[in-house]
Amino acid sequence: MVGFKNRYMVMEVFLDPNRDLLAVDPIIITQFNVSKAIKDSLLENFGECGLASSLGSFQVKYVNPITKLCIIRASREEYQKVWSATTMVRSIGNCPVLFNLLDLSGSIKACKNASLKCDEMKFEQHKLVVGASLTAEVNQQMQNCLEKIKTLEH
Amino acid sequence: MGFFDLNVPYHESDKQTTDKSARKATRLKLTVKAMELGYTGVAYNRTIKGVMSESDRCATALFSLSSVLKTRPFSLLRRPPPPQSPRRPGLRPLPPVHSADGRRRQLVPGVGSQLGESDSQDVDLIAIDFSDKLPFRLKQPMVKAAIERGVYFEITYSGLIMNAQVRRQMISNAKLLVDWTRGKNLVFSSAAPSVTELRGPNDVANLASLLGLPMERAKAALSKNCRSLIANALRKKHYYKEAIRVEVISSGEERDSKEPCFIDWLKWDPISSGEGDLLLDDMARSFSASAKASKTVKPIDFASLAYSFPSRGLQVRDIKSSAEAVMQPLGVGQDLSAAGETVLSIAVIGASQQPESLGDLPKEDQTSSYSMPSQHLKYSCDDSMKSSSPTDTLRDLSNAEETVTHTTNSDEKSKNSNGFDVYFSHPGTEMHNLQSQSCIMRCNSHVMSPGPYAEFHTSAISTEIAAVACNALADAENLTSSEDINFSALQSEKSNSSSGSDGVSGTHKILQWKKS
Repeated sequence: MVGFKNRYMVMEVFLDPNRDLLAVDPIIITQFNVSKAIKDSLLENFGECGLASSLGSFQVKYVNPITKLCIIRASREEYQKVWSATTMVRSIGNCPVLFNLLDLSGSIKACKNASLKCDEMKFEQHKLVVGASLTAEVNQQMQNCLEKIKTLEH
Repeated sequence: MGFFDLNVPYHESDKQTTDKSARKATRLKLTVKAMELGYTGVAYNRTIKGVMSESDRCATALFSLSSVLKTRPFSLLRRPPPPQSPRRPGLRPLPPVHSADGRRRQLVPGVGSQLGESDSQDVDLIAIDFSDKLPFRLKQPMVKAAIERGVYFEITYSGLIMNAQVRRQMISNAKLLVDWTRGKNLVFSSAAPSVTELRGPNDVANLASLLGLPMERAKAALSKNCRSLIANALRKKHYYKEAIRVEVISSGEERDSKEPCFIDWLKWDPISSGEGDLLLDDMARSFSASAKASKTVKPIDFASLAYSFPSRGLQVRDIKSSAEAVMQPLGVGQDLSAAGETVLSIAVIGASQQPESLGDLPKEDQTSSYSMPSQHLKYSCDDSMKSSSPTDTLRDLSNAEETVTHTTNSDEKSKNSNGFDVYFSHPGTEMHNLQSQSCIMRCNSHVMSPGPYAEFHTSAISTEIAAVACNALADAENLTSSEDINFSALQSEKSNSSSGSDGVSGTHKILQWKKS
């Protein structure tokens, strides 16, 4: 029996919520900087022990810089701490950010389905915003990301 | 169940005129962000010190749809947009001792004892600023007494996000309150000074768990408690003896067109502020009008992918137009008992699979207490509705239905349906002579003696989508118009020639939501 369980959270990031709509993204989010921001927040809010106990299963599995979607994994025992810590993240680097949870699931499969749907919808919205200046490479990048979701594993 | 954020700061606009537009812009951004994050309603928080006068009544201007849209194009990833409800104007001013605003009472030093006072008429919500050391001690018996009076406590969460110092104070202070109330009569809201301090409803519920609340209570504190708070406050103000609402109906209305009355009543949501609501279909229309790209993004309801579809923002019209109207066989053994109150069940099913979405339907009861329907699809109509429509005949009823249909149909055309089957068909047909369906309908064919009310008896099946179709039978032939409603079974109803008015029956459709 599998005694060890994880939780997968699909979150979206809003970069600099105060800015105008059409401005370029101030920073590019990557797995590394999202992970760092969350770990800092864990350290600040829950201390060394809090960080250490969450660190075992904590991983930012996927980040899409175009649609700003991320998938974060945490253990079942600590996921609420990790979730609160991400909610309290105020900035990544210099850029104020806002995290919002879209979906929480216990298996990677459900998470993949949910994140595929979210990603597609967010991409539609992105296309609306960007309008005419959508380039082919952005599209390509998007497709790559979608493929990446499909190959995610625990 | 929709989520509400009951504390969006609204800064007095007459103080420094230079700042006015900036503050308004901030407020707009906040509202839009709240919408995006998934809230179904926001309330602006005006602070008024000293004695309040009549002139301080709520006069907050609501944002128009276009200004909201200008900030960003929505693809309605999530929930329908929230109604903007400014502070309820009816909420009483508070005793002059406190610096207070229309709805809440900030406790100042020395006032701790006042919690126990019986100023129950005045106060709906108590908001304590936890970010600094409390000047007084919160005592449990007082908290308990306040809860029994029906007062809500508010905790603002933006302090948790802002900085570490405030966080520390806030958690230690608020934990006491949370422990004592155990989530009952507790409301969470942001007092977000800017957009960066706003958080989505699920995230806030999780932060509440830091304070010691279980997740389910935390979510209720964001949704159910807010709603009942506003509903209770309204009830105290607008309802005589908290049960009866009297409305003025303009006498110029022709008897024949019942349409405005019914539609208004159908749309009526107790906490809606009237014109300020942004309706889902309006948004969709605006999108299609203003979309630059050739393709319009479907208002995909993200929430429908998950579980629920908080349909607070949807008025009944929208719900109707987006739901599939399929008749369901109703239990034949339904009881006809008229308990002396007229009960009209309206089944409107939102897209969600959860009956809570029906919580938005109007419900007025002459005798029963005011409560939002939760799981049951049974709503009672106010008797005043009936009395106001003189000599309604079924024809009027059907006219109403017809008009209602048309409205909804036009709505639905402008909106891409999100995976719901819109089942509206047009005048015609099957809904015809109910007499012919006597086998299905258990209707009493006799006409009730013209009483003031038409009595429609329905019983809702709580687990299924209940539909209650009330159709007055007496002049069945008048029912030829209107919608095509396929009845596979019908609830019984009695017809009433005189006041078919509960035309609210305009919306009886038996709807079934699609299990996606």
